[in-house]
Amino acid sequence: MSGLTRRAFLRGSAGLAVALPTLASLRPARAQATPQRRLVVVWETGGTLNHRTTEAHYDRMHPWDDWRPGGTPQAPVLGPLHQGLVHHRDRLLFLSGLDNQAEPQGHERADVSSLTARRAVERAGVVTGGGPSIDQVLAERLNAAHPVPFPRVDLALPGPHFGEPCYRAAGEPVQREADPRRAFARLFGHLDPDRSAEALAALRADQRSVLDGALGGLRALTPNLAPEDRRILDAHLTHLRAIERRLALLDGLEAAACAAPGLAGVDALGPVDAPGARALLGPLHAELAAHALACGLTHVVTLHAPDTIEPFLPTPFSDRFPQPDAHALGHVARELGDPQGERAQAWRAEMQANRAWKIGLVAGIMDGLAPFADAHGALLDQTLILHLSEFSNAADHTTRDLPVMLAGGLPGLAMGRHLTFSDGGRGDTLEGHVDYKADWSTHNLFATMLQAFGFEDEHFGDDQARMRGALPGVLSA
Amino acid sequence: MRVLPLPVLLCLCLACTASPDGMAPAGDAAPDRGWALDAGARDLGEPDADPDLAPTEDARPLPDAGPPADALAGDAQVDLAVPDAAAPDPTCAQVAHGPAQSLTPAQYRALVDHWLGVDASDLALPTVTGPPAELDLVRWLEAAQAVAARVDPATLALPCDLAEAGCGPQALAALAEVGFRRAPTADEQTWLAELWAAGPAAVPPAALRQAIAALLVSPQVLYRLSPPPQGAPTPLPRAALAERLAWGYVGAPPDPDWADLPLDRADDAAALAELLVDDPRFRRRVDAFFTAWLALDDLNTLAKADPLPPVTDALRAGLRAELLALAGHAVFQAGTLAALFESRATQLTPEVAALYGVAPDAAALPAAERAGLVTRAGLLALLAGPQFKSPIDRGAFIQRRLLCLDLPDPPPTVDNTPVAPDAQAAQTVRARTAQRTAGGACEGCHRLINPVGFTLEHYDGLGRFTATEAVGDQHLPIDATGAVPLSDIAGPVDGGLALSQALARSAQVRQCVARQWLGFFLDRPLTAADACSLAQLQAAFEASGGAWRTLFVETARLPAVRHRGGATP
Repeated sequence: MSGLTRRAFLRGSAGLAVALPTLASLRPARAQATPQRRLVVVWETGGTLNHRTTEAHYDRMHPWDDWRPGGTPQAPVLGPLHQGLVHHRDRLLFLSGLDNQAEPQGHERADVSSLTARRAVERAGVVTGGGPSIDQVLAERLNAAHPVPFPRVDLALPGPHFGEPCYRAAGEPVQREADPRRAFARLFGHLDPDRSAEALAALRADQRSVLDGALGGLRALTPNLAPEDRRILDAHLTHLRAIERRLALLDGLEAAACAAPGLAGVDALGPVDAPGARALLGPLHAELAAHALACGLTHVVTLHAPDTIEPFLPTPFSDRFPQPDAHALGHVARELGDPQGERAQAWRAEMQANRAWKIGLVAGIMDGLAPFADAHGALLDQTLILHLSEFSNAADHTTRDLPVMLAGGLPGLAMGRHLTFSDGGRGDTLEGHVDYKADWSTHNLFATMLQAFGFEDEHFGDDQARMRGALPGVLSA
Repeated sequence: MRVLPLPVLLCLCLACTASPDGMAPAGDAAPDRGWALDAGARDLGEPDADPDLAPTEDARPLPDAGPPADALAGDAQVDLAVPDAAAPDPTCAQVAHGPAQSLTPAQYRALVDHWLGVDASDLALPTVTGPPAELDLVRWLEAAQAVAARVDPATLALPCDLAEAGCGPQALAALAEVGFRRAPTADEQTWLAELWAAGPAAVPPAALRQAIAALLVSPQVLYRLSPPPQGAPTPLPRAALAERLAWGYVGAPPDPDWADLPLDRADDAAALAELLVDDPRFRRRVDAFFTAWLALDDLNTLAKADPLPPVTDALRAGLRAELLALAGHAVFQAGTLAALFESRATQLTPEVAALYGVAPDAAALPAAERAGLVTRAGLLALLAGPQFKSPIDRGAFIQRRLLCLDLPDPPPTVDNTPVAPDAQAAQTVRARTAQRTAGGACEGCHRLINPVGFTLEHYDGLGRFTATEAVGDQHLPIDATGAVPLSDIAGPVDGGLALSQALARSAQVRQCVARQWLGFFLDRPLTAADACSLAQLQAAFEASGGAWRTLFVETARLPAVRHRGGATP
């Protein structure tokens, strides 16, 4: 590989079917006897295009449900939003009727509780997550069992959102990388064919020296600090040590055993916040996510898709009725008039294209993982992908009946189904509100996920849940 | 003394539900992004800060840059009385402790420029509030290595020749004193010696760069930390005060020359402030203040659609430049807050001149159409929808940013769909706005918002002056009468010029501006413990008749600036 240019390196594996180089194979001495399970969370801001609303007048004005599959529970038929996943149909599991019972309120509280299943907390006036999110809990546990250089990888498409869903701890949101070039450099810099193994090791040694020096500075600080300042220093220390561990793990990798992603199209990428840049960023992030998992660099990837009007997609509604932002585009559903009229149909067509493209990120990651397999089988069968939004209906911002889709698979998790957990016909009906009630919530969803990963948790999150335990019928006995 | 009820209690905007005809609820004002009131409103349309995307880096996004009105006034009432103009009390029983702060990207760049002579303008840096995330540390590490690689040891003011034996630790200690913005402690001196010893001492420049990289990831450089509050407020250590004044006034670390200046008394701090407000760098801080206060970064993405003409990059830049030129004129030439609202002075680009319908070299705007800030096209275009003007956005902005009214954000389920005129019913934007916000829970807030925005009805969605309102093929008469409810601006207000005049004379506006400035200067949300200091600043500003220089200089005397917070009683 030493003769390759950097450009060739960037394009090295594009289009190739790659024999799986997991961390186990990169470090044969630590080959795993049991399958390594992995998690991907694709989190979409702003809700989807479905029929679940809380107020009766919306219900009449918004009669479509393009998210919910048709067919039967055992043989779901994918709707318009999931057409990009048709070829993975048997690896999809739709879960209807799950609520966010931790924070059934709009926007930031719904966002910051979406993956924590805990009530939000306020820190210095900021509404923030009330505890670690499901991805963090799994990242810590999976990393403890099988350490990887990056316990988690957090990517984002740039754009407005109303709160971070992923938390290391209460009040400590993760930060995300929006630029795939920077993410690539961090994740795959150790594979740079333009540098010798010795040069790369020397680079890491320099970094370790810098970290050692900074850690010395921490030790030299007075312990007499205000509690909030101490919390900041604790986080600083924790992260410096995490970077140190990463460098040590990267030293152990056999560079040639794993191919970096090709990142086709990256040369055309300008500023990540340029209009239309997300058209390139989506596939690039999906490819990075798949390769980071397949190369054994991480067990957990999260990808955040913001609520954005996409100029590179059909915009038949926005072209004629400009809205200041995607949030307004979602809400304007309440002014569409006749659902069969031209205005309403233009809106639906635009929302369909928008939401389908974002769900397509899941397809991109699955397609990226599909060529990989190890001794235990296809990587897709050892990777659980959660696709979720903080809201159900985009116009109404309801946190009931959330659009939950699991993809990929784990042993013991029967895919290819659509399970419904609400009866939709009893409970807390208010005047003018739609008759709906669900007992099950994201608390139960996340407990189910933990059990699917082999942990014995009976509950996840706080005590706002009506029910405890895993969702019935999802896991095999 | 006139005491008004707490505004927010009258603003029962709890659930703007659909109107009885089944039409949408009110297009509501977007949540405010004011600097000192609620700069960090993380709600509708407010992207979370992304270090790669944030256009202005002079101030970190703040969650709640101001206390609720009741926190400052107490007992759920707002004291709108003009503060006593007597000399300010130099002490306060309470001073806010303030959270630990990390360097903003702008501060980091200023520091490495001042300290190491390195241009870091191209580096990606995190904006960190509270405990850092791992990616923040990764970004700081990457930046540290890049900065260290750019250091030219020959250009550094070192106390000895690095090639001489024993110079390394000495040089590192001297560098650390600038980087830390204070003298290293004994423990830190020991650490610095170890740091040098651990490096490639045989190659002094390489050893120095490696040590500098370590310093750049150390908490001593990246954070401003303080001991826990205990007892009564106490004066800040000299170095910490110098640093606070330096960042606040010139956006840079303290100059080594200040070591000889006295700083013990309030008069000493004010004397230094007098020097700093004449420093050329202070002009950039004023620009940053106005940019944050008025959310001018939003102009970078200003876009309009039919029936308005498209917005070009040149127009965006021109609108922003014109507003900052007005601010500069008010601060540095006229010298008063009133001038900000009343001056017609301008600096135009050809694109903005065409929008105003004047010659590009015009030095003043037409007296019959324009006055100061609230009649300028940049602000009016910003406070509008993509196609039409928005009295709701305009009214909410003025109430929140200029009058510091604590309006709550719209309920989360309210849509922010722009209000459009109705050609079929021959209804103007004003008429449609009034119709959609009438009655129900919406009215609680909108009776405070709409009448303010209605006074600017003569300015369209791009800020152009119009005698009539084009609605389809019709030209409907404009009604620009309104009011500024719950303020010290009495009676009806008719049009933008009258509104400008009223704002220029308002004591409440002067109080609000003092509050916005103090939050910006301290780079943190104000809390109830800042009330005493804020009152002192407001009194001084009021006594000066709204003189900007007084506002800026008197800030240095405040206990909130000069003291470290005590334990909460």
